[in-house]
Amino acid sequence: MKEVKKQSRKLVIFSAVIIGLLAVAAAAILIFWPESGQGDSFPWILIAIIVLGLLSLGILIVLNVRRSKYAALLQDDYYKMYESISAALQNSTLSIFERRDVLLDISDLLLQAQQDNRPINTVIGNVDDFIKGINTSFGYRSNIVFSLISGIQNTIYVLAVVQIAIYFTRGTDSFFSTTIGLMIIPYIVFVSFLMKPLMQYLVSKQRKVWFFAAALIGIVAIYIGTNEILHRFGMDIPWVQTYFEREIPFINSWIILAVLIIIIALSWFIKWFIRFRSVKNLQAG
Amino acid sequence: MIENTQLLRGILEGCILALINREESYGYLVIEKLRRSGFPDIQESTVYPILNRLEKRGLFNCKRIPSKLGPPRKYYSISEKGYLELGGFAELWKNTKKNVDIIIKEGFK
Repeated sequence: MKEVKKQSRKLVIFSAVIIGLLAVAAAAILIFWPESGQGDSFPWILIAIIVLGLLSLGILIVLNVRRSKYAALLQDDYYKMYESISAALQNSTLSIFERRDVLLDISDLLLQAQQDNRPINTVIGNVDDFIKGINTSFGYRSNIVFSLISGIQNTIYVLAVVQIAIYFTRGTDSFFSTTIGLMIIPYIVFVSFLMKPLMQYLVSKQRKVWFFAAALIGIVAIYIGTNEILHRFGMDIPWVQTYFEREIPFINSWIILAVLIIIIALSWFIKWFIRFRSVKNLQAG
Repeated sequence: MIENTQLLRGILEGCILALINREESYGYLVIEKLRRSGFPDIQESTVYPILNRLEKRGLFNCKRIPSKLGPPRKYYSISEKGYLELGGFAELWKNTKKNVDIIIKEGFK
């Protein structure tokens, strides 16, 4: 258990470092380039960075702090193995219930092997092969389709949250008349379609925290850097000016809200149907 | 030579069906029985995906029973479909073994 505590502490320190670095970067940008808060002087970049920082913290908490009570009974190498498997399953197409079921089975297997004092390498050989075997045992499910659907869902969720946040911070008359800065859209699409799957992939393949932190900081740096370069050197270009200054509506009526709810419901249904069909295909032989 | 191959997985499927047909069992016990029955190096990471696949195919009936050691333990028993599958495997294995034995015997002549 000593190792577990050490690992948890390391993760907390690293997440604090990430958020600290992001906050310092945000402060530096606002001090040295106050014009970075485009549009109506609202600090978009700062908000983006804080959202990303919170997102990273959330991912860390979900992946590393919230632990199964049964996993807590595992020691040293067994615990590390359970964590690796758990992280790898996050990047799979299994539903939350399927994952829970598998993790219960695995924790039971590991606890029994631990009780028999077996070395962990005689229990689970190659984690990647094991995860591949588990995924295959549920039938074929396209990773690409699931990633695309999740990307659409995440984009809608984040845009809705951003609109709610803007509504409360700006104090506009009505929620439906609240607009969103155009420059945040590519960022949210980038996070939803690329960053989140990339993070899940990196966490599943590489459990070292520095790798996670480096990837996160790299992605934020690319976004900030691109925006700064465009803002400092490209404001004469019409589309750049539009990119920074244009505000667009998102949820601007009850109809749009209903449509978005239908899209979300439909996307969940499609995911469920793909999983259902894959198991049915297995049963059909 | 046949470690982790499709052939081994196919054979293991049949063996697991036979073990569970004989007696309701849980994952770790199935693995222990396989180890004692000629697969001494078999790992959980090889057997669990096979068990899960057979379960998803509807060849087992499963129930979780509370365990003193940890989480509720999943017990597998053979379903009607599983019993038919085992019969098919036994037949296929009998024919395959007969044919392979003949080929090998011929090879040594």
